[in-house]
Amino acid sequence: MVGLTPPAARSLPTLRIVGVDANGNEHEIDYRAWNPLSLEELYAWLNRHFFRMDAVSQDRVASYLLQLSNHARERAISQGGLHFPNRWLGPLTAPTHMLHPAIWSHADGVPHNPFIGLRIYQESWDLEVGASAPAKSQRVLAYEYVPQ
Amino acid sequence: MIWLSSNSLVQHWNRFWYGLGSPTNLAAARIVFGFTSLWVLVSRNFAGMSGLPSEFWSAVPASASWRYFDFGGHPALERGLEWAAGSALVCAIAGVLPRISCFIAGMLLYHLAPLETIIWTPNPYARGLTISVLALLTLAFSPCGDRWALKFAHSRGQAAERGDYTWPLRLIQLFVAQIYFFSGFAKISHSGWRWASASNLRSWLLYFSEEDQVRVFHTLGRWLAERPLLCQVIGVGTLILELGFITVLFSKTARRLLVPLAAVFHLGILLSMNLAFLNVPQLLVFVDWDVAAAWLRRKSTYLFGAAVEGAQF
Repeated sequence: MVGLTPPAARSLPTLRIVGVDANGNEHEIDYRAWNPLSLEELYAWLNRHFFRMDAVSQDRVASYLLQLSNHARERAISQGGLHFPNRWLGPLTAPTHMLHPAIWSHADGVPHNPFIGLRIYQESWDLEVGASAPAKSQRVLAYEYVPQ
Repeated sequence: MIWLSSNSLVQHWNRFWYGLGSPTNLAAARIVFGFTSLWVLVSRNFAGMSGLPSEFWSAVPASASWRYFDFGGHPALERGLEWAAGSALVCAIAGVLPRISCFIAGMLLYHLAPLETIIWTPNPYARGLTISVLALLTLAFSPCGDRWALKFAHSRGQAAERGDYTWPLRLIQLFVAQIYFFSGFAKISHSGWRWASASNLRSWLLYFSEEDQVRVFHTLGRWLAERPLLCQVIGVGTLILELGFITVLFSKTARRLLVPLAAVFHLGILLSMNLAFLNVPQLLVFVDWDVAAAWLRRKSTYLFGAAVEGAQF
């Protein structure tokens, strides 16, 4: 917020981690899946350190993240649903500095097939066009994890 | 020139830090910081951060680890420390050994808070506990348990001087006020006055309304972004509020105007940009709790009095 947004292209880069199922379909992942990490800290760490790591270390991290996302997915489709970081406070849990939508709040919106891999994209879009126009967004695959 | 004489400055200085203070306001600060710290503490998983795979900790500088005594791979220990911090905060709120409780909570939060970000930065700014650590440690060295505390908390042999209630509250108010001042200062020093331009504000409003990973509220941000004049007013108004907020330390009028305005300002940011500021409840340290308590007493007397009269008929 302290900085100026890029004046000309008005495009801001951001990361996105998606789960990949056995059919090759990509699925968005709820921010609560990364507990104990918050989405901001995870993305900041990925940007600063992950992409400089050797392949073995990257795969170990990705394996951990895949495990977290599948565990959260199972919880989200279970009776109890996916917990907020503090399960007793629920939605009254103190948010992180940036808010995030809880996209796995209803079991209907949760992928039922397990994720077998993860992809990390670097995305940007023209602010004047809007993020809801996917054809106008730039999406670069920065990393892919498919366990052997 | 008279105002600037050294004698006069010393008088102003002494009046500011050691003027007549209220034990109630200091106790309120203890409770406010106790509650907000506890809320953030129980909302985070610091122990889980300690238990992350070693790859996450591989780039943490040794200086950062030693500075906070934060080392990866000790989730059970960190869990115990979380419970200890939580217990100390409950005691601080209730006024059970308030100074010791505040000290323990402050020290433990100094250790725990950086765990949230240490894997990429040792500075846990804007995560909700930085000011709390400073405030709790300040409270630990003040007679913060002389009001709104359990009876057996009063172990003092004699009542504190009225000035003893002033400096800690002033210091805590300064901690809160400087957040705004340095936020405004950082905008000017980093981006210059152009930060307040309508186009810059418009871009930020659009970004937080369009990025689907942070988009919880999206109507107000887009609505504002389509109105350049409003964007300009928000930009300039933000800088005026942030740089001017420091005046609440010296002026009752500024306090009455700017403190509620700051709360509205944060609500606006939340609804238009999806950014939460967890320190908002800490603005309550600017409330005169003696006045508020007297007002409440009057109201309750009036209400209960009316009820009793009603019951007699």
